[in-house]
Amino acid sequence: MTSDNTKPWLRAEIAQWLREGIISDEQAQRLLERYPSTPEPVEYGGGKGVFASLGVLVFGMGVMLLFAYNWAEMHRYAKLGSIFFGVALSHGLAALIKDPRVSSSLHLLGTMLFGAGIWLIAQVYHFSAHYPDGFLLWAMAALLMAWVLPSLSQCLLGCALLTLWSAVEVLEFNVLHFWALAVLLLLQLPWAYWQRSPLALTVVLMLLALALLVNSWHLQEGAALLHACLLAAMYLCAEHFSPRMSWSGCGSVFRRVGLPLWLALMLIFSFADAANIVVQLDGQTGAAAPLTWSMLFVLGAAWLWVLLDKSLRPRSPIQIAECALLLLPLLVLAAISGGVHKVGMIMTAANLSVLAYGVLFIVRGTSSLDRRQLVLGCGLIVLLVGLRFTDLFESLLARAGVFLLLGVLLFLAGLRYSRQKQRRLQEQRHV
Amino acid sequence: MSRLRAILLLLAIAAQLGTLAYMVADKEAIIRHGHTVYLRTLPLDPRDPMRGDYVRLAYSLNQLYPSRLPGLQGLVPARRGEVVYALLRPVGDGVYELDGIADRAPESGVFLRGRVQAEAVAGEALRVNYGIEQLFVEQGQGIDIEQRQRGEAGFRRSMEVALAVDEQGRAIVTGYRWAPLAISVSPAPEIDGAAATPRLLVQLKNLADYPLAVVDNAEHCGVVLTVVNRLASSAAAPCGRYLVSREDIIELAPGAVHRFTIDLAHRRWFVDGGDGLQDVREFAPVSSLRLVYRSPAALQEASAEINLWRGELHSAPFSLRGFE
Repeated sequence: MTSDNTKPWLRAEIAQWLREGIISDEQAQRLLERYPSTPEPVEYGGGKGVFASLGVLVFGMGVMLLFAYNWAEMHRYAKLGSIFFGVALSHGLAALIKDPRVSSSLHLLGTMLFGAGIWLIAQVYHFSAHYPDGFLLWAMAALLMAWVLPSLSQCLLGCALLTLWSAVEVLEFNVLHFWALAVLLLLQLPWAYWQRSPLALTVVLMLLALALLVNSWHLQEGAALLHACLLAAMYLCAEHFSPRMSWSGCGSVFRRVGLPLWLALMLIFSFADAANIVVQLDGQTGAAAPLTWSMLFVLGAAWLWVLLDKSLRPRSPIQIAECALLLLPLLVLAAISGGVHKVGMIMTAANLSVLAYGVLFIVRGTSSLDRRQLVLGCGLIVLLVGLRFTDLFESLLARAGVFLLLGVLLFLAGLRYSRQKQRRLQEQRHV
Repeated sequence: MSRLRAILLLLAIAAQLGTLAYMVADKEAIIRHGHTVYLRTLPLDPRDPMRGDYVRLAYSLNQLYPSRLPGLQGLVPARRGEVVYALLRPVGDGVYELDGIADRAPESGVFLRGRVQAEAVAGEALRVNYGIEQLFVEQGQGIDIEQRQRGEAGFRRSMEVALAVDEQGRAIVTGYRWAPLAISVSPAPEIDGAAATPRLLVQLKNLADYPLAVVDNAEHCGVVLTVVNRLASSAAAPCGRYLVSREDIIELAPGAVHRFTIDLAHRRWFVDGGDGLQDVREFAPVSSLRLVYRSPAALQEASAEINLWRGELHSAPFSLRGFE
């Protein structure tokens, strides 16, 4: 698992087992060979490129607003000529300049000016037709450039515009609109993989979730939460396939997007109101039912593959526990969609999931001396207790008990972390 | 960069420039070869973040009532997104008004191609957009237009939007002008200290720099009371099909005003919302009302020697509450 950053911990443990005579030198060597690679660090691109692209985006927006002033004294041909000249000049200069960063920024400027041109033409000719089409045209131009160059900034611009197009169609024109979702899934997800770009993959996965949320909300009120939950579970499942992929680093990106989404949704489902919305969805005949069952089917097949394939199957207790944490709420949601109308089931599964993730992060954090995981785990449990303070424990005695337990848990977590750290220091001195 | 990639890049850039060029050429062709018509509007003033200030234009042909329009009953229920054609007829001075509606492009005449935005349900209007509902203006001008349209010194005049319309019914806004006739509606001055019933003072003013004629008679048959956003208007009787006599024609010198008073308690101003005539005070006690001045069609052939203003002129909306 790319996310199981256990190598430093494993080395320390193996050294300890050797000293205690639990394993031989040969066994220690075999164990170290068993986990040869550390996860690929996620690189989100150079700062210079990001700032150059941001500069170009802001500049392009400035040009749009400049034309939005709608200079009455300026003839329409002068306005149109300046935008045509701007687009041609930007792309022309970009083709001539050798520096790839500057060239890419100029191409991005050209695409921004193309977008400005669409709105300028609409303004000049008082064109009030279906305006989201402007976003679509602009997005297609950016995505085409993204594939041809290839360019990360053009890809991000295109994906953002595509999602905006879909959102406007759904929210303002009340039209169910899965096109953006399809393009993101079938064109831009492969692009991000092809380019080995964690940033592009992160953005595409986030926008996929956003586009799905908006459409699901329109499809059937309340379905958005359920579908977002299933999508997050898909991302977390996709992480398990990364060892089989040529770009194993993509697994950590799937996790970075999927896990926060999953935890946020579990926290939401721990409330009765949110759980009730899902329970009231008609899983069999509701408008969202086909999509729900399609997602459940894909998810079920993917998890089955992970569990049956020896090379993908979770091995360590922590990995197995994490799979169980995912599968429990999913089984509950599947049962709810199948007609079991129990609000309590969802709430219990969600609460247990958050609690268990908190404990899991603490265990991982203290074992591998990862302070971030420890803080995350403690924070999750404190947040959960805080949320349940008003709606679960009515008795002051129960509240006091829970807080005492929480205090003890946090104390033990700190103690374990501190002991692990001392032990590691001692080992380093011996080595 | 490989040769293939360079070619693809060139094609992608050409696609961007070509898309913009196509959009411009398409609109320019309509402007150059299209038929020029003027439509009267009721503008508002919002702003678009991408395109700046614009005046939202509302035309009478945006809201089509099945019972009022030839051809529309056969089309209802037209579904959202379907294409419909609004047939136009000239009423003079380049101004056109709605003459009928069809689901196929007519072989001749001037017509606009529109799309149904909202289906007509339970007697409500079929809402159709023609892509001519926005007029982009320089920042700040939108408010000026709105103020001017609302009325100078209480007189409201129509904005007449110039359109270029091609043979397929596609239209582009190319400009605008102001109608020379303005209307004002206000509470009539009280008689002997107290008004027993709501009485309105109606004024028609010639804002042109040339003489203009309007029509009016004892029953004020040139004026109709309507309830905003409801299919209800004052009774046709006793006017019936208003046949204008020479005495009804009132010539207005530049700047001159024709005034008359109407009493809404009078049966002439009762409205018919489908359930027979009702006192407007009971039918729409809180709704917005409008007075619409309409030049009668029966006069059109005989009016060559006088400069009679033609078409419809809507007053600013008002409510009875303001008159109590």
